[in-house]
Amino acid sequence: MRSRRHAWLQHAVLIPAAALFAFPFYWLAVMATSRTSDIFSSPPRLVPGGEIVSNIERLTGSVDFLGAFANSVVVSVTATLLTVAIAALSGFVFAMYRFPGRDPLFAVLLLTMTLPTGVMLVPTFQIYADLGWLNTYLPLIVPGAASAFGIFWMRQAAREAVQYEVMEAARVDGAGFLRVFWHVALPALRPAVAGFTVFQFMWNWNEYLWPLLVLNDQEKYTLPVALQQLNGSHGTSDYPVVMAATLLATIPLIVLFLFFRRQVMSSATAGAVKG
Amino acid sequence: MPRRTARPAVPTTRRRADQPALRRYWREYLAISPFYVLFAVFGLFPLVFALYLSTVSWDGLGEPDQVGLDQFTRLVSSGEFLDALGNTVIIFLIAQVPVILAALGAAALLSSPRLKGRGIYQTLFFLPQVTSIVAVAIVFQSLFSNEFGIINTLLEAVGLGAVPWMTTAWGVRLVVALMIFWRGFGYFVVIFLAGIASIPPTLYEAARLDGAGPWRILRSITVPMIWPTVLFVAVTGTISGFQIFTEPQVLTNGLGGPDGSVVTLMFLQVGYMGTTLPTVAPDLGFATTIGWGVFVVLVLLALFNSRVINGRRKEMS
Repeated sequence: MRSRRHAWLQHAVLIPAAALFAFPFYWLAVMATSRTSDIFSSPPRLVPGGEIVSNIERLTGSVDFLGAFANSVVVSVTATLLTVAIAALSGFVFAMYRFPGRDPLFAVLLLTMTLPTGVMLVPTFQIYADLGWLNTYLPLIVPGAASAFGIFWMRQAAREAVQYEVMEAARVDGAGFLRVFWHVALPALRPAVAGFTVFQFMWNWNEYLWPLLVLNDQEKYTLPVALQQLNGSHGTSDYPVVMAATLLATIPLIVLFLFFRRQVMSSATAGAVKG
Repeated sequence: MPRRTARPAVPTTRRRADQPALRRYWREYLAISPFYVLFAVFGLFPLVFALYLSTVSWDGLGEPDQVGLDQFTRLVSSGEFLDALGNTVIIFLIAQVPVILAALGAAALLSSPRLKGRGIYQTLFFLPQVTSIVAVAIVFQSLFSNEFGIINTLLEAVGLGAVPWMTTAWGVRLVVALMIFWRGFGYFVVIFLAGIASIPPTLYEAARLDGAGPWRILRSITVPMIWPTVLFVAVTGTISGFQIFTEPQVLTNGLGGPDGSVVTLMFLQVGYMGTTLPTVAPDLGFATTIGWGVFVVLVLLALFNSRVINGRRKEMS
């Protein structure tokens, strides 16, 4: 009896909290499907309208939203694939091979994670400028290609999942270094790789500061920068268009997340619990 | 973490023992090299370059002027840096600290053994984490809009009167704090839940048999048992909290809010790079010096954190 009342109390706290957390999403959907006049009417409309198609049409008619969407896809996919590949290979080698200097090198890698890198914006920006990388996607892809967090996480996963005996068997069959990685390590690392891929993709998709700093041409903008610009130019005149764009930019990640829920949430905890 | 050190390393068949290490293990070194190469170029080198840049005054277009240590004098004597530090600390205190505490409480609640729908709650709380901060800022801007925002409409409907969120210093700070809370909560909940899941359930049963209430259990069992997780969250939460940029920047359309009330340290630094904040004239030297200021603040915080941690460890042992 006591525990049932207890459970009821828990839901009495959790349900309103969950509703509060869901509300901004709901409101985004309401505004993206409304007319401007609905939003500025009093009392405001509280349920979704039917204007989403016309809002999207006005959006794609006034700015190159699809272009920004495509840019985001290209940059995020490239950056993510590169980061995951390097992290899986490096993490696997750190976990399964022994070579001089391995442990100090790994300690250095861990140490760099605590370095506040966001404070060196200007010199990093100047390096991009000197390399001729401004207004290209290289600053968004190359410097982040080797992620200390990713290597750490893949090393943990490899220690748990890759079997030394299987590696040895492959080696006896004549498999070289890369072949062992490809045929033995990668299949065993699949769940960890899936989680890290989605996590990294979300991170790349939402990246804002560097695209804002290095991309000048409007046709090169990624989604977050395009959204911010759109909000600045249309925010006061055509709110539903801004909201439709925001909704469209948000949906892919929500769908991706719902598909890979488990892997993403376990990736999020990788550093916190096992470290 | 189970260590399997007993497992033999892959033997070096076909590799001769008398070869130098670099030649014998070139595959291994090559496989781990990308991180070190990229870190040297985009991590270490900028750090050294930043020493030079902080001694110049430069608008980024003409020739840099050598100014010696003037930028550092300017950093400590001009009110701008201290104001930005103050804004950062205020936002940290009203956003990052509450969100971590609330997430700990929610995780304790969500981890009760017979709770139904845990996965649904967890997913709902985590969802804001996967949305871009820019999108979140745009939505919050409209929720808290002074005239047509739904929050003010609701406040008026219940007779409380509209609040000038976006045009008062504390209003904007509060909205920034709510954004940080809303977006970060689920992430911390998931991390704390994973920590709590590793606590043996028998500990809780024993405590309950001894008549301990929920608060007592949280304080005496949950928090001490997940202390490493709490530390991780405290340290990473502090580092990211003190580098808050996107939330205030997008929320205020790059302007920094009334009286620059949400111009944080990173916001000020980016402002001096000439991309946002119309109130400041670009000076890359001063921007770099602000970067050093942030660096020093974070190092001091790390030292403070480790002192607290050591004190706590002594207290527990």
